[in-house]
Amino acid sequence: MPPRHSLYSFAGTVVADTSVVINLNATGCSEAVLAALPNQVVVAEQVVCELQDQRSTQHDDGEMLSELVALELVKVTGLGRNGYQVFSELVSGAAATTLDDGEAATIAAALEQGGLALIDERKALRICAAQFRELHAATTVDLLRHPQIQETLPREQLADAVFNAAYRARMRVQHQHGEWVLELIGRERAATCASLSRILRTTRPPRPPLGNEVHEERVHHGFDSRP
Amino acid sequence: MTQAQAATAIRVARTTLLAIEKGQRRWQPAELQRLAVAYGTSANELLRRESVYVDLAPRFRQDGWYAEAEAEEAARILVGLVRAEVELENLLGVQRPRNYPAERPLLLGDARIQAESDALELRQRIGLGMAPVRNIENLLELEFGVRVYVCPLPSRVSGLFAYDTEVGACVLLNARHPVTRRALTAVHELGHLVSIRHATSIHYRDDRPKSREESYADAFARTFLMPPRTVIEKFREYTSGFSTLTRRHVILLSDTFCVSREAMVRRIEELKLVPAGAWDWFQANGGISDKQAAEVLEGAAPVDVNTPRSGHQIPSRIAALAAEVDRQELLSEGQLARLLGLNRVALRQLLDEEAAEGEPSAATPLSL
Repeated sequence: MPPRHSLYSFAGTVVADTSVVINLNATGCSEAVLAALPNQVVVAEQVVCELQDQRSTQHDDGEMLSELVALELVKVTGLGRNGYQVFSELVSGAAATTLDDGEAATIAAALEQGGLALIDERKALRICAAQFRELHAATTVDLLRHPQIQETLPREQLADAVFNAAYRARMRVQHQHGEWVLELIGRERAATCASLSRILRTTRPPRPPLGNEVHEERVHHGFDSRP
Repeated sequence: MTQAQAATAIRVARTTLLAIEKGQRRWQPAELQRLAVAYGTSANELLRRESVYVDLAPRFRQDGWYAEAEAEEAARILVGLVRAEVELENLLGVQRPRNYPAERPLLLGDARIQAESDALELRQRIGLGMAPVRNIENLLELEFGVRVYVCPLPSRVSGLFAYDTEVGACVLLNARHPVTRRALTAVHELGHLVSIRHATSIHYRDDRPKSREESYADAFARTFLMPPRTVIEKFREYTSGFSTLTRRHVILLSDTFCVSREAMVRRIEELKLVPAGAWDWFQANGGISDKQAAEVLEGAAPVDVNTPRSGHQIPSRIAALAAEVDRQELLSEGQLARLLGLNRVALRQLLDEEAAEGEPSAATPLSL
């Protein structure tokens, strides 16, 4: 289910989940992306803990997040009483309706602060849509498609950013974003990203111009209109 | 962790923690979450209904195996794998049948003789007769329902065995050892399942003194994999016309029985088909190399299907379960990563690889 987001017209706080921070770090231009965003970006303390615990072989996401915090591009937020109430509901109970701590804290913080949850996790987005209908949520790709970011970053840099996130961090791309991603980074680069293989398979390549198409059909079927 | 350390971790006074432990005060969500972090877990892992509690660790300690850091690390890996597999199975409603061999507790007398008798009896029971066993790891899983895991372990640890009434028999083998060496370890652990089911064992790759239980398991393994009559028949067949044992003979015999060349030579020494010291002679005279084996076998080396692929070190069976759980959105990325002990990118890689394996191939359409 696609997230309900009004990110592009949203002026408030955006609360980023672990999955989004990892993708942003992998872009190689997280500072430029965050600086271009008109919103304040925060991460929950629980997300900071998770990232500091990550033993990533390619990126030190915890350290990279610390740098973003030092540059004041990201703030760390705790949960208040109401936030912890939501957090408790989201971490305890059946697996089908619970999330891990970082995901739960992201949603709880966004609800508590009237913010928007930035989260790629499909189950989390489904739970948001079902249980917290008032909460807006968006994904990393939604973020990278932000008009401000598209306006600020040169197209080539944005293409590299999306490709890097897909290749290095294996960023998940929802089906409705497939065509935009492929058009931006190209099918050839997309073919090198394992996380985009399904998008590639289910998205048809652009058709050639009409004149060439007719010529190819004639050649294939041996049709020749010449006398 | 001491009470004082736990109180510091959750930022309360020690008296408050005491009151919580006595049920006089409830946990606050923030406190529980901090305690979870202090223990290297998450509040969701503690509170998720389907979370599996498998505590093989104390049983290892009771058996006196925690003297070494390597053993502790191997035991920790085994517990993590068992927890993950059982929770994933429960979420998917997968039932794992058990068909364990009959228990044969050690009696008085020579443990080795009992082991040989029990091993031959088991081979007959499962219809192996005297034939060699080509893939013992799959036999343990498919025939007996034993949970078998193959992961990189400290090199001195060959394998572990543990049994729990809830999760059943579990065997962990060292992926750093060649599949032929692992075969002997796997059957050694099977010997423990037969003789000392409710104890745990760690099998080391060295010459430390052996207990009766370890001697039993070693003899069980040798007889199960290399039954005397079959070894003698094959030995005669391969060495017919020769007056000495050659490297080629050893290579052919070890390939027939899917064991290491050393294990094969030591077995034929034990059966007195060659004089004692034959293996030592080979070692002192250049050994028997993998290159020589490849030449004799024309490149047909034993295939290792059970070592985890790529860098994530998750056994393929668990990876497949995780992929299905992900596909059905039963656990989130965060929950799965924590359950499998993987960072997010490694988990995504695992799921991508499983998805690639499951993709339909245009070249192999199904005809139903």
